Order: sequence, then C-alpha cells, then structure tokens
Amino acid sequence: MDFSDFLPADTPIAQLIEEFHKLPGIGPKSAQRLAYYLIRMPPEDAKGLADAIIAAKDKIIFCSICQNITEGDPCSICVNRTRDQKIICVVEEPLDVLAIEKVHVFKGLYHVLHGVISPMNGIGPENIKIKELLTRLKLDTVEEIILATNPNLEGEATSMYIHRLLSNIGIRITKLARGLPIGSDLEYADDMTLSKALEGRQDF
Amino acid sequence: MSMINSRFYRTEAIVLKYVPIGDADRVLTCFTPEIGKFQAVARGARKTKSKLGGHVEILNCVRLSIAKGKNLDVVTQADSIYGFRRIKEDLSRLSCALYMADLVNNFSVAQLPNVAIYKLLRDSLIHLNSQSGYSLLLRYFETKLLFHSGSQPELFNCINCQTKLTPNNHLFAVHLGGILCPDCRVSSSSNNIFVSLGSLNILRHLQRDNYSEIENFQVSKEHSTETENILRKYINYLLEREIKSVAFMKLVTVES
Repeated sequence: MDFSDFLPADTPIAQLIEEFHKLPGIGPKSAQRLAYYLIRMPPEDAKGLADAIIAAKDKIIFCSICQNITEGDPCSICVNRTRDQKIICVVEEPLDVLAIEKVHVFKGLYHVLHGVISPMNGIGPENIKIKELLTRLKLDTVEEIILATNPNLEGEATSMYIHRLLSNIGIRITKLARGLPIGSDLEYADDMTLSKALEGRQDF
Repeated sequence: MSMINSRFYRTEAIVLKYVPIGDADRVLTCFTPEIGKFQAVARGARKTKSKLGGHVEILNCVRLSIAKGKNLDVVTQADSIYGFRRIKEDLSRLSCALYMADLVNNFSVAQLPNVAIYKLLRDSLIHLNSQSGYSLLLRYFETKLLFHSGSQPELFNCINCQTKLTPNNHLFAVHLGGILCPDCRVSSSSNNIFVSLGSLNILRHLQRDNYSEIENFQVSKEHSTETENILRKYINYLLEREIKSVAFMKLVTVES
C-alpha cells in the first residue's frame, strides 16, 4: 500500500520522507522510519542535524588542485610542502584518500576523480575529473602518477584510459599491486587475483 | 539449473552489471541460461577479503550457488569459469565486451530464459578474448541477438510487398525492419537508410552463417561503417533509446 494514500504530499512529514528517500540506500520504509524518528527527537538534536547538513554544504568545497573535499582551498595536503610534490596518487573518491592516509606510507599528493568510467551507466571520461588531472600535469612538475582506482572492472577501465592518455608525456605511471589480501585463503581466490599474485611475486 | 532443495539452486551465469548496496554488498544483474536475467545480492563482495568479490566481477562467466531470499536471492558461492583476462586488459576489447553485455541487458526481460542468447554472449566473449579484430564479431553479435530476440530484419524480400529483392543498392526501412524494393520506396522518409549491395551481402551472411564461416571475411572500411550504422539505428529504433556504452566504445576503439 502506498503511503501517499494517507498523507498529502505537501505536509512537512511527507516532504521529509520524500527527502530521505532521495538518499542512497534508503528505501521508502527506511525513509518513513527515519522521518518518524526525527519527529520524536528532542528539538535541539534535530536542529543540530539540520545545522550540520547546512554547514557541510556551505563550507565544504572542492580543492582546486586535487579536487578533494576541503574547507579551505587549496586543501591541507596540497599546501603541505613537506609532502613529495612530484608524485600524484589518483583515487576514485575522497574516502580513498582517507584510507591511504591512514596507512602513513604515502607522502605524495592526491588527485580525486569523483567517480569512475562506467560505460553501461553512461558515465564517460568527461563526467569525472580527468580533464583537471591533465591540466594539473601541464602546470606542475610531476615524476610519477600512481593509479589507485579500485581493482574492479570499472576502476581498471578508468586506469587504462588514463594510462592511454598519459603514456606519451614521459611521466612514470604505476598502479597499485594486485594480489592476495593478508589473512585470506588461497583456495577462495579467483583466477585473475591468483595469476596477478604469481606474476607479481617478489624475492624473499 | 540444478535444485539442491527448494531454498537453494545452482546456475551458470554471466555478470552483466552490478550496483553497490549497503556497506559492502553488491546487487548483481546476471544473465543465465535457465532463468534469463535476474538480480541477486553478493554480500560483502566489496570487501578485500571477500571470497565472492573477484568471482562476481562484471563480464565474468561464473558458477553460482544461490539461496532464495525474501526480496532478492543471495549468492552463497561463486566460482569463475571464464575470467576473460585478455578482454579486461585491453581497453578497446573491454569497451566492446561491455557493449555486448549492455545490449543483452537491454534486450532481455527479467526472468525470461533464452538459452540461445546466453550461448551467443558467452561464445562471443570467448571469441573476443582470443582474437584480434572485433568489428565483424560485434556485427555478428548484433545480428544474432536480433534474431534470437525475435526482431530479425528482412533482408531477402521487400518488407512491404514481399517480392524477392534484385541484386542492387537498396533502402533499409528502420521503422519497418527490412529492405524496401524500388517500387515500395517512399522517398524522403528519415527512417530509410541507404544500403549498398556489398553491405547487404555482408548483413545477409551475418544473418545466415555461423561465426566460424565468416570470421575470416575481409570487410572494407566503407562497408564496415555502413553495416554498423544500419544495425545501430535499427537497434536504437527497437529499444527506443541509445545504448549508453556506445559512446565509450567509439571513444576508445582503435582497430588494430
């Protein structure tokens, strides 16, 4: 039964449900649950949430250099002169920057694509931040590009496309190693992972 | 499809696409010989240690064990049969393979089995994985897909008056799905595309023959473009939309 049978679309609660429903992973039932939870919340908590959403939307911008989300432009990573300015790690999403930063191994700069090439969904190279990467490479002296897109089909397609664009400009292009994750079982590995792991074996 | 009991079943499948859902799951759109196109959840497939992740990759041909779920069925085990490594390591081939998967996704109806289309997709991917050229394979794939979907164009007789066509240049009427003889032509219709005798012969071979009989055909650039154009327009007309993956394929394919 459709909820709108009982609730006119212009009531605040129906609008709230509608807004929640637009979020990824929120179906109609979850949207209703969240909306009714919010209504029962103390007013200050609900206002806190509303303020946080508005503040995030108002203050957070894209870094003009690496396209990562930031409060100041350029972002804290791009202005940090102690980092290696000659290596750029290309990632799909801002969350990938967080994941790599957490490891404390990489000391270079980033470039966030904000998506991947997904031909079946009509997302082509022009829809993600590849053009910005090319512009950046013309302006800065970069010696190495690390392609760190996700090791799935669309991530690999994006990496191959960028590699094809950059292969003639004399910059070293690398990609993250493929192979077996630590703590996993060999028997569950797929053919592609296992063959890449064998090819990329290292001396003990 | 083998039933283990009513709650579980096993099937071979080709993964056409997937969308992320929840924290680490994926909803797969699979194409199988027995159940046609269907969706199933691969739980945890996005985690690095997932035992499913690498197997249920797009374009993979896999053996799936599935548990029936309340809404969506759940993939419990996956084991790849073909990984199509050469396709995945070459951007041009990959874009062609995605186009094939996209076409099957667009032409198939959920839960409607079509073994012939499944075999066509699987065999075409195997060919694409092992050979160097792909434009003739794509045309073959499109032609056979049209046939198995019940939309094969009429290339031997006039689509309007049914008279046998003379060996000549003709017009392909996209809205009627076939060739018009000179007597039945309605000039200035935007739905008519010129088709030269050479291209018409290629289209006829694609329709009649098996791939092994035509794979060594030498097709001129002109005829190749013409047949591609005719089939694309006809497919777009049938689906009432453009196939999204075409743009990327055009951008990256450089025939060797």
